[in-house]
Amino acid sequence: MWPFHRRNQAKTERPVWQRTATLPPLSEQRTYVPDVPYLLPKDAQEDQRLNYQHHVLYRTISNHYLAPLAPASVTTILDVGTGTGIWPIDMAALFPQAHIIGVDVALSSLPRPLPQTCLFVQANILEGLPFPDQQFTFTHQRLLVAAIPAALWPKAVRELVRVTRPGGWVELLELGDTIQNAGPATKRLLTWMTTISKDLGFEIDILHHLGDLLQQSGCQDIESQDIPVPLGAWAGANGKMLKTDVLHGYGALKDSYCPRSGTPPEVFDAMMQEAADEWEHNHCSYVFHAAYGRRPQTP
Amino acid sequence: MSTPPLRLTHDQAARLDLYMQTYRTYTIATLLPSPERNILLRILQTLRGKLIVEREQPPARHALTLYLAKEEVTALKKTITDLFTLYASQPESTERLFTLSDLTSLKACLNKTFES
Repeated sequence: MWPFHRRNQAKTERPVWQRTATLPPLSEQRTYVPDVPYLLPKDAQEDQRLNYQHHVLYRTISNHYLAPLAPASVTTILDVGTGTGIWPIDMAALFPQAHIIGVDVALSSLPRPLPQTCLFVQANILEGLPFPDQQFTFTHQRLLVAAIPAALWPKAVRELVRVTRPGGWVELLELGDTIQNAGPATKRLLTWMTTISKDLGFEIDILHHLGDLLQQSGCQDIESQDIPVPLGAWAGANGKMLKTDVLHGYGALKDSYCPRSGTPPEVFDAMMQEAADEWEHNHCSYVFHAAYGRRPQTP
Repeated sequence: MSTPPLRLTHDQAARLDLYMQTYRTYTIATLLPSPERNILLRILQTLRGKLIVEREQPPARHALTLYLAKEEVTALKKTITDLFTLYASQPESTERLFTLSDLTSLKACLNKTFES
């Protein structure tokens, strides 16, 4: 396909995320990717959760993507932080004529066999994407809030735009710390998580500015949208599924966050349960943050 | 395609794009997820993509031509109807009046083009 080459980068000092944060200790129960600032585990249990989450997202935001793509115009697609590869695989079915590349720091979770139009590359966006400029008609990245330290978001988004063709779309989707109708238990949980995240260099507030990041990277026709999604069985099957995913996602952070804050796991579990009960009682909704825009047609 | 082409001026196309964007944003933010809602949103999403590509054609052309599938026509009609209801409930203003008038014209154009 393309003559890929990694961009040369001088590595004379430790990356910023290593200077400003300390990785949580490895847990005996969960497996983590070494040497990258990724807070979530990378194991079979997490793979299962990610695939489940993929289906939850499809049902709740209506599609695998939000940008207004004209099918015939989509020839190359990039998915950054591809995880299990489920997104590129489903996109290959929607865009059978497109060449699709998924990128992740670890490719241990990919299923077999893979669609012939999909290719997976091991790379870390924090170190630069191993692609030439202007390669992709659609560049997609979602739910990397636990993988990109706050200070590196502008650089990451610039990379996404760099590899996107003029006129091509760049799309970001994230889940932060906004839960509508949150009660005291939910607020307590969110404050606990955002405080620890901040200590680790992951500032969730950046997720409210995804559109700004696209604009600063030169995109136009930017559309930003907050998407509240019901959280809990009170809203039927979709709400129940999202609640399950959120509980497991928070649970996946437990091994990282509890030792750091000195919170016993059982206290964390109780905090989670109290918040989960509140989601049902208060009819809460979790807000996704989405933004997409286009690289200008002319430089 | 089994439906006749929809011909729009550039201004009409720009407004139609905005209407579809507005309706998608409103719907995804206010309606609980459901298969019906999601199907409608996906149709509008793809239709917007086609419209955007068509709008980028050389500006020398006087009108844009959209070839719509039957489900796209249905989705478009529902969008206009629902937006009309939404805007009609807003406080009176010049902008509201123009939008309601424009939506009415657009719906008439759709009904005439795609007489069922």
